[in-house]
Amino acid sequence: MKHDCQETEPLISGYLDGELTQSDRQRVDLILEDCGQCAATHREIKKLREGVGGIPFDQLTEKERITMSENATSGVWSNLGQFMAIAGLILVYGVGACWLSWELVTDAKFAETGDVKDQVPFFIRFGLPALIGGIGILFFTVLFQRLKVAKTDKYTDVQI
Amino acid sequence: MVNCQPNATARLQWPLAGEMTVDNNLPSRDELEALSESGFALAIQLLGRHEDAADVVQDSLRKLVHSGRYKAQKGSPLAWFLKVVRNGALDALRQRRPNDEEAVAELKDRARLPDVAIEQEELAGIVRRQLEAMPVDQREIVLLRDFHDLSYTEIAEVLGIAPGTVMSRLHRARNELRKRMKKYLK
Repeated sequence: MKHDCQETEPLISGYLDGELTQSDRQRVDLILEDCGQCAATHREIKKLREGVGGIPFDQLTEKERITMSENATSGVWSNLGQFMAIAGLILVYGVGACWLSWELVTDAKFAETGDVKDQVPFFIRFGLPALIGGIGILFFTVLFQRLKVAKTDKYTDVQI
Repeated sequence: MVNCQPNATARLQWPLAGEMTVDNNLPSRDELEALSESGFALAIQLLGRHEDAADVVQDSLRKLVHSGRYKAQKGSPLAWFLKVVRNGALDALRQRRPNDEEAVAELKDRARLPDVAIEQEELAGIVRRQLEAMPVDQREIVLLRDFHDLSYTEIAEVLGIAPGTVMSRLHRARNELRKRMKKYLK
């Protein structure tokens, strides 16, 4: 069959991999019957494929394999734990601290009873809400900075 | 060192599509172990150092589990995972300092073994050395096809290239290997 041996070589590769269309496959069948050079190429690539398939490589030990799959899934639980802790903190701090600050600033109990014993000292009434607010702002500022750095720092993985 | 039979890691222990836990968000333990084995084979083939390969596979498994893509992705889960491992291995290769290239130096030394010693070894051992001396892009495509037994479509997915270019790329890589192996193939 008339053909160019060099142009046929990629087809022989695809033929051995079972990736040719039926017509190309039939064409290669005919070429391999007629052409000694293409038949030799076929033998060589076949031998190479077998050689690559039988290459000895290190494998994971049983222990490593088990540890890896455990670590991969345990990470999910630790992430969930972190998420719940942060969500709980935001809820308690956000709602609880706001409620407490509001009670202090408005001096709600004194306003309700009018009893001097229930009156909150001035420095606590305004100092504590300021302290809570300040810590909250600092916490969230640092949290957002850390998150931003973790997502955008291209040097994080560079080993020094 | 264990002699892997052809495509052993990729196919024999890989659960069939029907056996996969489609309803779960996370892959089953068996699936994770099969993935880690196939992923490790590719990582060690690209990196040459056990610890580095294990680190890459561990990171890739975490990404797989955390991304939630395992259930969502449409193609072969193995091809998708090998793509993650391959990217991780290439990153690790880029981060290696030139004077810290123990593995690479080891590979080069092995590639220069005297002919007498080479002749005493089996074909697979010789192929391995010659493959390791080839550029990564040629080495990986040969290994993905002939060791991991991926189809051309799956190879295209792992390498992020058009499926139509796999045959020609693979042929070029095999030709290079053939040139290096010429005297052993007669």
